[in-house]
Amino acid sequence: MKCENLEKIDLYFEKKLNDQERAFIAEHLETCDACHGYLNDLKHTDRVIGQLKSFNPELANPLAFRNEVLAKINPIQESVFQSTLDRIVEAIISILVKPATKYAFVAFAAIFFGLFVYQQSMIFQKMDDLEKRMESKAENVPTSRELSLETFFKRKEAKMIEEKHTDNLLNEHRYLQLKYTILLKVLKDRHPDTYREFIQKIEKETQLPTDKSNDYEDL
Amino acid sequence: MPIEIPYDLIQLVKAGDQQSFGKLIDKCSNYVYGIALKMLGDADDAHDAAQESFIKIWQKIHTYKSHFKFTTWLYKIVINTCLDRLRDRNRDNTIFQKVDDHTDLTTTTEPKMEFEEQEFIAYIRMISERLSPRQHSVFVLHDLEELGQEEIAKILNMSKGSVKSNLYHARKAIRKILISLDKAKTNAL
Ligand SMILES: [Zn+2]
Repeated sequence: MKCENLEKIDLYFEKKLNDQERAFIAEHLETCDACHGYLNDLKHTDRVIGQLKSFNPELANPLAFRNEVLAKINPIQESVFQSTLDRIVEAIISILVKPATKYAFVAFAAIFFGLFVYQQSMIFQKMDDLEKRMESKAENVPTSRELSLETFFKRKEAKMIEEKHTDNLLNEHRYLQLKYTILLKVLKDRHPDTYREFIQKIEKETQLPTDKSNDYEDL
Repeated sequence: MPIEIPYDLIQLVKAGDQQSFGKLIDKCSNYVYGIALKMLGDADDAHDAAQESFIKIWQKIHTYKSHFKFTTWLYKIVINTCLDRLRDRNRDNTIFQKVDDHTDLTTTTEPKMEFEEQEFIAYIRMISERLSPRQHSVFVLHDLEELGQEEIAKILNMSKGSVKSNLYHARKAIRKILISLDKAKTNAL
């Protein structure tokens, strides 16, 4: 049988009743088994939840955990564009092994070079933008008297972040250049004729200054 | 037990700095793992869910707006990752057989002051299986993580009223579980 006071037991347990109701329920509890039992259930539940709450789970090996995550997030391989480049480099290198397909190689290499120039120009564009932003900020710098400590630190922080951006762009650029250099080196070693042909093609199709392509040749 | 993540650390992670991201992981890996374990009731599953959450954090950090509390955003990612796993688990019922391997709660004596990990996991596992994923999330966030109803509403994309009613039903269900557990215990004696 249900007791009509059962609903009040929740409020009694949560100490949400006024003094009068409280006294009434306290007295009622002494004679009603249903309400008394229900209050015990509430207390028991509360105790178990309290125990669950006080338990703080810990990783067995936080260091390994961190390193595993970091190993999974290599930002360079993450980018779709970079993985496209990777595939092209792989394709080109596999073609290099078969000398008969040197014309196919030249075609591939031309596409690759196009991507390289495009990617590089994007990086330079980003760097220019960043530089302009920093310059325009520098123009608006107030005199030291106007500069509060807070804005000083905010500026310092902003500068730090921008430098980080520049670093990342530079790394991206270096990575790209490295891949391109490796590709050319492989080509030069194994197929000097195709190499010369390729360089000529590049010079014809793009207006890359010769001194720049010499940079790659040296490597 | 809320954690504090410095603003500049988040900005550096946003800028793509891996080293800073490593620091962020160090700061909150146990915290994220704890939430996942409370949601999933399985140590291996929680470990994987925590890693998956960090990878999502790295991929999505640029979408984080700093006028939000970082931990609210963090909870959102971890809870959603866990909810996906719970959904997969419901689809693949065979995983449920793993429950039998856990500590048999009916044979444990009176609850001690502190839980052992196995006991904690067994309780969580039992609760997560009996509650709907929504009820369980609200229970974890409100009763175990001690978040306010407004923040929970934001994390779970639901109204405050919905948080309240889910909490009410969750507690009712937990009470039932504990009572039936007690009965099983007395019968076993
Ligand atoms: Zn009664």
